[in-house]
Amino acid sequence: MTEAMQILVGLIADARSKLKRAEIRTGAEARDTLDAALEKLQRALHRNPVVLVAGESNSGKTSVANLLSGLDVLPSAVIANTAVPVHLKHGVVPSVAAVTNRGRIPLATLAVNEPLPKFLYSGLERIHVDLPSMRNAGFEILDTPGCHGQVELCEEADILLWCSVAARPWTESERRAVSALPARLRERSLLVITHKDMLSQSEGERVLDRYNEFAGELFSGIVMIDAATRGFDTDWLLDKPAGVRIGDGHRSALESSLDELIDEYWDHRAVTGRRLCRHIARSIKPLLPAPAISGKSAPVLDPFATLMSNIAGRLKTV
Amino acid sequence: MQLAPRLAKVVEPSGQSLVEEAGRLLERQVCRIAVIGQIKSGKSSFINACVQIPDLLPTDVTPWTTAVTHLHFVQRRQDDPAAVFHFFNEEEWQRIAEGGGLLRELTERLVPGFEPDLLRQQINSLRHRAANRLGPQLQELMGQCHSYDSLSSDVLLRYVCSGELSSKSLNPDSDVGRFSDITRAADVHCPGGPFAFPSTIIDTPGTNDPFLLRDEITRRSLESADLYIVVLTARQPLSDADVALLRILRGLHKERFVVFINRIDDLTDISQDQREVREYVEQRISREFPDSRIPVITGSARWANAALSSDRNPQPFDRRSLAYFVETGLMRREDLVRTAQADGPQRSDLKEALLQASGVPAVYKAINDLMAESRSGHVLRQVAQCYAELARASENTIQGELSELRDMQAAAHTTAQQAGAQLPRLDAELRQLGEVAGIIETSAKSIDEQMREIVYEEISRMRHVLSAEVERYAADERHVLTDTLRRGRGPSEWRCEADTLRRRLAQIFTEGFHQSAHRLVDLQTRVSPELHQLMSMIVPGSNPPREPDVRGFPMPQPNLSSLSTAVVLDLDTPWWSAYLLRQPSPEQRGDEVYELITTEFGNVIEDLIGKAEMSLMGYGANMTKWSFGICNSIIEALRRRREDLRAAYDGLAGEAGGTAAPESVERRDRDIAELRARLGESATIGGRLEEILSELSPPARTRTN
Repeated sequence: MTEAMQILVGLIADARSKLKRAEIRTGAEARDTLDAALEKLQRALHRNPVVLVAGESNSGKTSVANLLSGLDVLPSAVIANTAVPVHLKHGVVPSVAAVTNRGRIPLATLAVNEPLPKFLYSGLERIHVDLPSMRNAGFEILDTPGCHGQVELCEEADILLWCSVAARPWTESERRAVSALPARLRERSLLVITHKDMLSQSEGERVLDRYNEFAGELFSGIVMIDAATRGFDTDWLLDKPAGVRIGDGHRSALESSLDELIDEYWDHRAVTGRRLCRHIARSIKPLLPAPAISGKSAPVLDPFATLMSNIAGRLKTV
Repeated sequence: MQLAPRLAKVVEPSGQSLVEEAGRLLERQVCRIAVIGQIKSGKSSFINACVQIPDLLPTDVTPWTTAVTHLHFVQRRQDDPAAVFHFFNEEEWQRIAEGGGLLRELTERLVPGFEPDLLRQQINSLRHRAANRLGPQLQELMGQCHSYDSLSSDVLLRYVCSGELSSKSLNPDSDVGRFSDITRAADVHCPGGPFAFPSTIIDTPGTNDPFLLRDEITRRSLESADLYIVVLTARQPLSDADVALLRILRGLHKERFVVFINRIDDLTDISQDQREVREYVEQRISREFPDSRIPVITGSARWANAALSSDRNPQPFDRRSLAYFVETGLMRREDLVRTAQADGPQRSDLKEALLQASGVPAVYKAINDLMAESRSGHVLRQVAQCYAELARASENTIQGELSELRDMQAAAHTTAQQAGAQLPRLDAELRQLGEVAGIIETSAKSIDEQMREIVYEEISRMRHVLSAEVERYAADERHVLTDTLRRGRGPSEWRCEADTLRRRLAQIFTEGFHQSAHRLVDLQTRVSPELHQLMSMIVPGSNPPREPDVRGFPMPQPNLSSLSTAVVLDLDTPWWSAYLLRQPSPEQRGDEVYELITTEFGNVIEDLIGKAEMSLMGYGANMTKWSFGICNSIIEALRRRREDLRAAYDGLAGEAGGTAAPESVERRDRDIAELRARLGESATIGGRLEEILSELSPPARTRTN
């Protein structure tokens, strides 16, 4: 979380405590509504970014998700048969649950390469994995099944990692799928070129040239990784054209580029949060008796409630 | 094919023209094999492996092939250059520069004024690059072609691969890809070739290339091939883009595919993953093309090229490949430790093993099997059969001639009186022959007419059935659309799925065509025994020509590529939304869609029918011409001989009671010897043709339509 964000969250917390101490005098109902709205805002601003890992089938998505989560939990197979999105996030206790149309079903384990129990297949929507190791990551991972034209779940995501295999550098179907994504998501997106280990250095450079030429404009950055191992070898990426991120020696190129995107995400959140706060403040002002803080007359409740529900509505979109 | 000149020597003059004609037909018969697939599936590598010239076509890690390359085998004539590269001409170039092609045409029809920005952008960069590379030369080169008398991979590099992409790294001195921007197609002649048939292998730029123009070029080259090898990559087997490609070809005869899953050497656990991938692809294909048997072969062009490479120090294989070789017994474990790649028998063993593992031999086999069923395979069979008949006929007539000559030898000792007595018999025979020839001619005509009539009937029936189907479909769609719209659903929910209609049309067409073909073959089988009877009347005692086994050779269906003509209905959803938004009332929209479907598919049907007509007519014409041609040649032979005999007897009768001069006896002896030789020759040719025929006959398997 960035500094700007921390300040904003502090401000909101402060406003809420003032509200509780009745320094802002309004009717009890109105106060509760405002408090609820602020709490929601606070929570919304707190939410870790969701990193969507997408790409065509067998483009190394699951390997990338495994890499980021630091665990080899997700099965990866040659044939894309895992047609269910997997949501990886922090949890104190490791747990796996299947979300189906009949509700949430806890699963014992998610063994590597072990097929899911058959009964789950009907109505299975996604799998939730809670991992203690995700605590320090500062993001959640949404590992999608290989996309078929349209990328699902992009509504829920804040950051996009688009995986593409170096052996088939950039196809028309990829271009179409990525162009169809909301611009909001593409603004914070990385093109992750996987299976670099199949190429020699000079081949890698040529492949990268092609990606830059045809896909460079669609993403905010490009990284090339091995995907199979954690061993990144980005030395030869020095002196690369702008837009291609390089690791700083200690951390991998993927992780450092992702961190930059996450910072951008928080900055963007902070901007939105501040705008919302200003909006709330501006809207409240005329409703509160003047002078705003110390006035004594009863507020007009009805318009206030409408306003609050409006704010709540806007918060949903954050 | 080499038999033709030999055959021509032994048959009668009218038979000779038949042989020549069939020979010309043979020369035109080339099996065209298109190798298609997404970018980076390893098509060029596969072709190199397939033709066993590892460095022939240039390959690279980025999509590299830009032009359609035709590799011709066993077809080079004396003066043909080894390689010809055709450049776009001014008009084509202009059309591309204006964003021509199917995509543009379709979008234009549906959403007027639509400007494909991306296409334009790419065209500009293409122009820019071509100008950079060629400078003022560019204008001169348009519409020209470059020819080379010998071929090297350097030459190919200049024309058919893209070279450096970005202008930054563009080296002005580098020749790589120098002409690639303007090269439309290349014709390359190669010696030998892997297949039993004369063949042309077509290398295409990959599909699913974000460089849309290249995609366009590939699609245009798809229509004309007889066989398709679809190359997939093992790590992304039959992705959606591959399925889309197969659907484009859906109209083509579904039994003329071979699927090759390349690059299994990229898999992690080669033997297990390979099996899984193959099963997956087979399943998916059988879902996509039910009731068909499309051979699915896994392999690695890289291995094959390594095996074929003459390089002393081949690139070492990675650990996974080596593990696989050991596991499948291709290599011994101890070979891994030693410097196994040394010369010697062990190395050639390894090469052979690698080649087997690469899957390329399996592809040869699948293709040879498929070729036997293809159109050109069919013509080859027709010709071979015709030749065999001719050989048999000439065998018979020569035999007849021999016996006549022997008679004459005997007659040399007969009296003039006896010879005179023979004359009326010969005259009668000659008259009879003339009559038979007349009958044959008229019946040929009437059969020809009958055949035309059948074709005409069948064609109009097929047209009727097909259009009825389209209309029914269009009406259904109209109903669905208006219904959806009336219920207030968004237009985006509706999308015309033209695939169902296509599949239905293909089915109807196939059935119809087989029915028509059946009627033709039926007519022919009714005719041939009569012909044979006639013949045995003329040449009594000769073993009657065997009835041609027409039923064994189903007439191959013309290809259904017209069905895969893209119609506006194939456009993506966004176009539809844009289109539907412009129309005011549900009914009106429904009507427009009805109109759209019927006109778009009307053209498609006309195209199909035209092809069917040509194919049926061609078949019938050939068959009648050949059957009657054979009979004619026999009759002609007989008549000529009778005339000879008659002249001989005449001469004999003229000689007053004397015996034949000794020199004429000698001459006859020579004739007899010569005829014996010819008889032997036609017998061997006949035997050889029988062998060829049995080789050509399609492998016995149950046929599904």
